[in-house]
Amino acid sequence: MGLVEQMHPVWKMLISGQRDVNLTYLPAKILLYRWRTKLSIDGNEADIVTGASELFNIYLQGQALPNAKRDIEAIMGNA
Amino acid sequence: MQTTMYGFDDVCRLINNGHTLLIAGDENLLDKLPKGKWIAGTTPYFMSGDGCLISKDLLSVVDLTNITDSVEITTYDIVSIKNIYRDSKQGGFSVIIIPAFSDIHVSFAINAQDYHDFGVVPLVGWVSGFLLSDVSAMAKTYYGPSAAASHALAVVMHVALPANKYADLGIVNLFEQGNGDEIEFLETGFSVSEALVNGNKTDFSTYLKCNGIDTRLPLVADYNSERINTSIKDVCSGRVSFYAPVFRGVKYKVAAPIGDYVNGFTDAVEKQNLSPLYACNCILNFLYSNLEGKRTGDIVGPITFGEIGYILLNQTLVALSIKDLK
Repeated sequence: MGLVEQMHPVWKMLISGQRDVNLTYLPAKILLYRWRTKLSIDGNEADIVTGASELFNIYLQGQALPNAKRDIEAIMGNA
Repeated sequence: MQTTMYGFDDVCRLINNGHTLLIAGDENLLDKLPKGKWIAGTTPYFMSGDGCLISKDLLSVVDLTNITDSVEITTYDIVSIKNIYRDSKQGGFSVIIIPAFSDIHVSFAINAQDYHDFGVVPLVGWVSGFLLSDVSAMAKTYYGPSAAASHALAVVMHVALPANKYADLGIVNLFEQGNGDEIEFLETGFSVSEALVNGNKTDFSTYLKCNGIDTRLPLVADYNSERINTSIKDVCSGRVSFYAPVFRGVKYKVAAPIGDYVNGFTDAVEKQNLSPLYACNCILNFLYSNLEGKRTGDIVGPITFGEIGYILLNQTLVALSIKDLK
């Protein structure tokens, strides 16, 4: 299953906590936690867009790696 | 090739033959190494095949020569460090060594998650240290191309990999969140005076003392099922200091005690089927679990003042393996 496009709403839904997926790719886990923590303190729509873009970029660069592939399938399977 | 312990002359020979090396050891040896394709940091503590040891005569070496034909060796200061991911080689990995207790150590620890292109390649590495009984010692890093030492700069090797290989960064953390109170901090930093304990503002040093908390146990946060530790350095004068920053908004719990570190560690390494090219473990695990003379399975490498797996980690083993892409 492919990565679909950066503008797909699933990336914003993950960052904002509207959607939960059990991730396995370590940098994505760290990034997602950091953004959700930031949003819980003083987040706004612009932060969600930036966070979604960063999360997409991690998977774009790592999409050939087994853990990233597994996550992409789980994310897109739920999209 | 896995990490190997070498004598000084053997390492000089490898450098002079053009090998690409990651080196850890005491400064009395590192200061005398010839110029070449290497980076290094100070520590006299090691995991070796014969058990954990303290040595000023041996060097821990990872030879990358046969896994890459393209590396870029560079240094970063407190301003340029934010570009470390952007400068990495796509599909490869980067190795960083940072001197303990330097400004760049603090800066990296707090800001790494916000760097441009965070996480687009594995970033593995360690915080260099010194013999704890040597009160005048300072941590150093070494930039091999000029054999120059620094107390302030991070040294980095950006490594390219063949198209059919990838770098897999894993962490082994034996600590789990205990069943105690939920702890949050009002500010990000290496030291705090107050915390929110189950939502109630509390003097954190008093909380630790009054509850008899074993400060050898780290605070553990749950980053989407990845346990991330922050180790307690000191409790005094109304302040608590840490070996890594605590972050505002992150929910921590004091770790549950570990019965037998060595057996637990060996089990965890076997469970994850680790056979890393590179690994490092924490000086606090070495000290608190009395690891001197004990084997940590087949894992060898430096024992360090902080471990880096994308971000600064504490009381954690970091391992990097090179695998075939299928």
